[in-house]
Amino acid sequence: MLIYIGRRLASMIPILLVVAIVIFSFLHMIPGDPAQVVAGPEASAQDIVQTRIMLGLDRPLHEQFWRFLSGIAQGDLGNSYRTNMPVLEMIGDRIGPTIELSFVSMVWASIAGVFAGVVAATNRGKWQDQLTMFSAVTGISMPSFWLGLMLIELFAVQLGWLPSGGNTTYEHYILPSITLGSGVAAVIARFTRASLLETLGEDYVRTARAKGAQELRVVWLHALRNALLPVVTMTGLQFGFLLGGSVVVEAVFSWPGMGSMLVDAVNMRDYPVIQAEMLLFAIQFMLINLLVDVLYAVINPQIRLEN
Amino acid sequence: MNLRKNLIVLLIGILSFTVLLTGCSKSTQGTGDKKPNELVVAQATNPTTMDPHDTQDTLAYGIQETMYEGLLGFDKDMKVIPVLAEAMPELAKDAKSLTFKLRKGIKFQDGTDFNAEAVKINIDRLKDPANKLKRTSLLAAVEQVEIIDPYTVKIILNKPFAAIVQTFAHPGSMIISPKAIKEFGKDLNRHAVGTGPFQLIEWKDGQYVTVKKFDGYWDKANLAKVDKITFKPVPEAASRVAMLKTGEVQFIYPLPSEQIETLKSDSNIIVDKSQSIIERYVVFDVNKKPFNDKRVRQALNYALDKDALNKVVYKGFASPPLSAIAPNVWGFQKQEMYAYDVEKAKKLLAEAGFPNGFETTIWAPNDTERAKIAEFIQQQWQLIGVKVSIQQMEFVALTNLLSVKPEESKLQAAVSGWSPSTGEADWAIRPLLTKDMFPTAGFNTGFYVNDQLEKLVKIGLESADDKERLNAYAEAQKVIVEDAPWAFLIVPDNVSGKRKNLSGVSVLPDATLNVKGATFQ
Repeated sequence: MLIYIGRRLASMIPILLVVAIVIFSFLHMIPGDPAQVVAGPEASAQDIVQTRIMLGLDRPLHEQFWRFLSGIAQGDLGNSYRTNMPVLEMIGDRIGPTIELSFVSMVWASIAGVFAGVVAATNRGKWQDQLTMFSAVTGISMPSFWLGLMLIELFAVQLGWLPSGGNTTYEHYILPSITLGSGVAAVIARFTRASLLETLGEDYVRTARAKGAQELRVVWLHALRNALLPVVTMTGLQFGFLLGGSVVVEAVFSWPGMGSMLVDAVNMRDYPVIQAEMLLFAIQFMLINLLVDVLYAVINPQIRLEN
Repeated sequence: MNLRKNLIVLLIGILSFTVLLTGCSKSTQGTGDKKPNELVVAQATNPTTMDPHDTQDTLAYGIQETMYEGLLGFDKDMKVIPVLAEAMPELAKDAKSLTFKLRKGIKFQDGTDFNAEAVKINIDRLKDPANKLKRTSLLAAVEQVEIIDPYTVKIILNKPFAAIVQTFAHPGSMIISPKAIKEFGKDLNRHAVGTGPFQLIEWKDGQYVTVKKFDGYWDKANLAKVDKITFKPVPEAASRVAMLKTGEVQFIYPLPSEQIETLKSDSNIIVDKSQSIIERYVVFDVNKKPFNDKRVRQALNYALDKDALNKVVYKGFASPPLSAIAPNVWGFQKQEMYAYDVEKAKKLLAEAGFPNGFETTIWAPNDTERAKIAEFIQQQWQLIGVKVSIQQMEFVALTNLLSVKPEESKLQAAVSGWSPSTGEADWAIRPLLTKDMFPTAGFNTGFYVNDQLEKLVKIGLESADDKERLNAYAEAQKVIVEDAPWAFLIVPDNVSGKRKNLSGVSVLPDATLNVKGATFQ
C-alpha cells in the first residue's frame, strides 16, 4: 500500500510540470496587459513601462517561466501584482475558509445524500422515492446564486435568524454550506439510489434475505457497503471541485475564500496568483483522486491496488 | 394517483415559499445593529494597499482618508480647501513655484512632528522614480522642495504648471509619517501612519480593514465620533443590500440603481446620492469614415435622448451632460448641448452623404451599466438608420484594444468615460483630447487633434491667473462640444445607502468615501 502511494505521489510531479506549462502559456495568451492594469487607469506610458519592468514582464517568456518554476521549487510563489504580498501568504489566509466551508458542506451533503438515496432505493416507485428524486433534480437545477440570495432574504433579512455574510461565527457557516451542499447532496442521492438499486438485486442480497436477516441489516450493512463504491468516487470529485473555491457562493456570502481571490486575480491579470491557485487546484485534485483510490481498497478488500 | 397528489402538494409548497420571500420587503428593526459607536461599511471590492503614494483605486483612498491627510483636500463639492496647510498656497506669477505655510502643533500617530522636513521627505519619496510608486507622475512637474523655515515649504517646478495646486489636494499626495517611511519602506502598503482622526488596527485581505479612533488628532473640533470603523468587501450588490437591511452594516457603496427599489419602502434606510465627476461618452475614431465628418458626429449626438437614457439605465440617478466635463469639476462651464432632435440628426446625416444611415460597431465593457448604455444607443441610432452591432468584452481586454497606435487601431466607436481624479479641467481634457496623449502616453483613444483646443489647454496649464484659466477652459469646452469628438452621454450619480440613525457619511464626487465624521444618533 505504501509503495503504491509513494509511486502515485512521484508520478504527480511530471503531471504538475505539464500543468504548469499549460497554465503559463494560456495566461500569456489572454488579452490584457497586467502592467497596465496594475499601473492603473491614469498611468502614463512611462508609468506602464516602469511597472512592466518592476513586475518582470519585460523579460523573455522562457526566462519568466524558469523564474516561476525555480520559485516553486524554493517555496516562493512570487508576489501578487495587485497587493504586492507574497502569494503563499495570501493563499494561506484564504485556503482555511475554503477548506472549512467545503468540509462542512460535504459532511452534511454526504449524510443527507446517502440517507435520501437509501430511502429512495428501498421505497422504489413509492412516494418517498418520487419526493426524494424530485428534490434531487431541483437541487441540481437550482442555480446556487439564486438559492443563496433566497436563503439570505428569508433567514437573514425577513426572519433575522442568521447573518447574511462573512465568516466570523459558526452561524455564518449555515447558509453558505446549505447553498454549496445542495447540489452535491442531490448528486450523491441520485448516485446512491442507482447504485443501491443495482446492489439490492444481487444474488447475495437475496440469499441474506432468504436466510431471514433483518431488512435494515441487509440494506445498511451488506448492500450499502458495496453500493457506496461509485458514490465514494463521485463524492471525491465533488470535494475536489469545492476545494477550488465556489466563486458564486463566495460572492453571495462575502466568503473570503480561494474562489473570490481567483476572480479578483483574473480581473486584474494577477498572473502569480492565478498560476499559484491553478497549480494548487491541480495538486488538490490529484491528491483527492489518490485518496479515493486508497479508500476503494479499504472499503472493498477484493480490489487490489495496481499501477 | 398517489404521485399526482404528492406532486401537487409539493408544487403548492414551493409556490408559497416563493410568494413568502417576494412579499413586502422590510428590514428587521435593527436587531443586527452593532453597538452604536462602531461603524461597519460594505464596499464592492478589496482595497489594494494602504500606501497613498502607491494607490490607483478610489476604494483604497476612501479607507486611507480616515488615517491620512494632505496639505490640501477636497470638500464635499470638490472645492480645494487647506487641511495640513494653514491656508491656500501662493502660486508664483510664472506658475513655476508655490509656497505652503504649514499648521503648527500637529503630530503623526506615532508621535513624530509634522513640519516642513516631513513634507519634504514625503514629496521627495513620491517623485523619486526609484521608489517605483504608482503615483510618481502626480509630481512630474516638481523640480525640488526648499525648506524656508520649519513651517514653510517652497515647491519649485520644472515648467509652468498651474494645476499643481489641485495635485496637493489629490489623495495620492497625502502625508505619511517620515519615521514610518524610514521604518517600513515598501511595507507601507500594509501599514499606515498619518495625521488623521483614525489609525489602522488590522487588515485581513478579503475580509476587512479596521481603524480605530486616534485620540491625539490635531483638529479637536472634528475628533472621531465613533470608536471603530470596519470596511468589508462584499462583491455581490444584492448581498450588500441584504446586510444593510439586517443592520449588519450601516453604510454601503456602491448601490446599483436596480437595487434602489428594494430599499425605497424601507423606513430604516436612507438612499443618498451625490453627482459624480464622471462624464460618460462614446468615443469615435475620428480618423475613420464616417466619424471623420463633424456632421456625422453631431447627428449621432442629436439622435440620443439623454433624459430617456437617464430614466432607462440610471433610474433617474444621473444627469444629462451640460458640457464636455462634469459640473463638479473645477473649470466647468455650462454649454449649449445637443437637444434630442431626430429630424435634425437625419438631415445632418443626409448632408454628410449618408441619407440611409450606415453600419458600425460599438465596443463596450461587459458590466451591466455599460452593456445597457450600448443597447440604448443601438436602439436610438437605429431610428436614424445607423445600424450598430455591439461587441461586449471584458474591461481589461477592451483597454488593451484601445491602447494601440492610430494606424493599428480597429476602433470605430466605444462606450467610454473619464473621472478626473484631481477634480479640475486640465486633467478632464488634456489626457483625452490632445495630440501628445495618443495611447499609450495618454487616453486620446479617438486620436482627436484640434489646434485651437491645444492652444486653450496650454493657456489653462501655464497661466497663474485663475480668471485667465477659467476663460480658457470655458472656451475649450465650447470648442469640444461644437466639434463633437464624442457622443456626450451622461453624468452618473454616486449612490449610497445608510441606516437612518447614521449621519456624517457621504460619497464625494470623485467616488471616495467620506466617513471620518460618522455619527450615530
